[in-house]
Amino acid sequence: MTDAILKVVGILGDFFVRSPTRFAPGTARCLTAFLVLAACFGCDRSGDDRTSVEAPRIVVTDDTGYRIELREAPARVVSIAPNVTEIMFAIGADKKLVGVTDICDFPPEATQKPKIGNFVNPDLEKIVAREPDLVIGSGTFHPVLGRLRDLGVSVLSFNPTTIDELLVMIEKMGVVMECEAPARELTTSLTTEIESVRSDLPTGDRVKVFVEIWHDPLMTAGAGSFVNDLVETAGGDNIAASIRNHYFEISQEHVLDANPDIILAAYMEKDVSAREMILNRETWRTVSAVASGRVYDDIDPDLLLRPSVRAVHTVKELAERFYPERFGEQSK
Amino acid sequence: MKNPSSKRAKKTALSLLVLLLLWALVVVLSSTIGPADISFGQCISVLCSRMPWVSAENVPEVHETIIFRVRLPRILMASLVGASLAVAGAVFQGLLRNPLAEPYILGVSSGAAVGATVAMVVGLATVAGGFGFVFVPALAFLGALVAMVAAYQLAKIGRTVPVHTLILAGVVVNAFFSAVVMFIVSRAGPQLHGIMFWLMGNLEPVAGTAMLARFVVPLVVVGFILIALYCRDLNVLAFGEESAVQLGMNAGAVKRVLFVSASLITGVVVAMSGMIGFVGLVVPHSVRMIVGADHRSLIPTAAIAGASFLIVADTVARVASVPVGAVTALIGCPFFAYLLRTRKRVMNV
Repeated sequence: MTDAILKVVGILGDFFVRSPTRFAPGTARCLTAFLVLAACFGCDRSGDDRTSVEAPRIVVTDDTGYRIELREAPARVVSIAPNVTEIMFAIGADKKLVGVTDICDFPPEATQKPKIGNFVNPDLEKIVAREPDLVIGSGTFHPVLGRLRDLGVSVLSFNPTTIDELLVMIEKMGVVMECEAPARELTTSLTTEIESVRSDLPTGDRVKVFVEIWHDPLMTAGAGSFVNDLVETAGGDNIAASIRNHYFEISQEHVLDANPDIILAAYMEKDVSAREMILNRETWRTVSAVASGRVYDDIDPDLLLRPSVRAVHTVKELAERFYPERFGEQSK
Repeated sequence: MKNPSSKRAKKTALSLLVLLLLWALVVVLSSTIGPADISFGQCISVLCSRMPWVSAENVPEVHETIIFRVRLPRILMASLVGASLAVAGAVFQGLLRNPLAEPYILGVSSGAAVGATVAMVVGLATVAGGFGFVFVPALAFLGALVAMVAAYQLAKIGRTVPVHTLILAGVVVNAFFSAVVMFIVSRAGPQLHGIMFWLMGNLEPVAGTAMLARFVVPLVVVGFILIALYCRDLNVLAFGEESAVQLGMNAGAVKRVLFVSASLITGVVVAMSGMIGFVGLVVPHSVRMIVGADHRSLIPTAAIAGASFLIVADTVARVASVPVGAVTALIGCPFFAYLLRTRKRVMNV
């Protein structure tokens, strides 16, 4: 290695010192440069041999295919997604939580935890400063996660797009936190809840649902989004489900053409209600949901878009709005 | 007796020394600034703890991690990228004999971004074990080269590249490649959310320091060496191709090597850190005022000054939590406007 460097330096020196006026032949110079490249590629062969002394007790693979092996349950955990924070509390592992994002607002106790930046762009330095054994992310891909792994921090990244995947995530988190029993209990009760809604659903035609994620530009959620699975589980037919993308812009034309029976507004505006706004759209008068007034904005967007425990309870809420004749009577 | 050449060498050496000291100072200062709650004194004691003649006394491990493994890698990355962009800018300005030439303005950065985005979206980065990663800078280099050639061919009139046609060519190339990136990203789905952040300029070495050492540094070093070896030729070219040919230089070949080298370092750093503009404009022009237009002085000083410049810009970006590309643009655009106004008079554009 050092020989190669010395040789290169020698050749370089030759060019600068020996031939001040003449132009050295181009090929020789290119050769020099690529010699350096070869030397650099040659080095850095430090392979790390990972011979673990003890067999790991906890082995979990996340949704990106990354596997962590831990000899003991992590004592300090940083959550970089609000749904992870909610699940940590739900399975009783909240005492281990030493960092959350700015938007982790549920349960209210979560806001008392130290902050590590926002959800979209968490701050690497603030995360490291919390000295975590484990960092758990969810949803969007964070470049930060790769850096954390580089620093030797265990990282898990979940991306549940269906209720089933969410249940798997909860159980995996139970395994990592050594809260398996409460996690299993939770998923069992959630499964029961979903099954009871499912058994009450009508067998005939399903209502057509348009999920309005945002109004300007008009955005919706397709297959591959969590809210799509909530709607489908509650017996609705998402009019954008044929599009294999999560959240995207959609043209009005598409909505008018599909003529949804129900519109769900998954956002809140400060001054006007989303429902009023949609009902007052001139061009949407012919849409059956607008004509019949079945436009809903009364479900907290977090309950629709955040893949967490509370979202599963939303399925019943949705079913009540989709099929009031079946679920309305039951609730009385 | 003093000849002008040794005088230049002396001045260059002095400037290099001063700039190196300045860079060291900037590195130290920048490593004491960040969102984590570590005081200036604590930072200095952490930094000193690694020095052989100072005894390390109860330095918390987490502070060490933050400074040596979180802040310093990013600072070194900023140095590498800043130096590369400044050198690329200086080379483009010399080659095209045009003061407004710069990787970002020419559209070379957007071309590189297209290449890198394609490599990431198609998943080339993850094939063939760790070595598939080399596709990202490689395709970025290809994209940079294509954009460079396109801008050059569009802009040149005869053998010269006038300011106004260059800017127009840059606008067109930039618009086209930016549109291609937007198209790819919008089709890519959720896992590539991070790409948007990366595009705006992000100096966090997200690929990992091992990847940087293995793929990025060698490629950039090769580009630097090639450019260093051709500095003298660049001087001659800057006087015009005719004089170069009269001196017995194979002007076409030299130009090709320089275009390729500058595109190489641009492509590689864009693949790592996204599109950071105006570094190649602000730094070479500022340095030229001090060391003059001789590329043998200009290139090395621009490299070191570029490193310091981008560290400062990135420190602002880190503290304010904005993309570093926005910071360099805020500094660079007024500078660009100033150059455009002054050169307009001189060059009679």
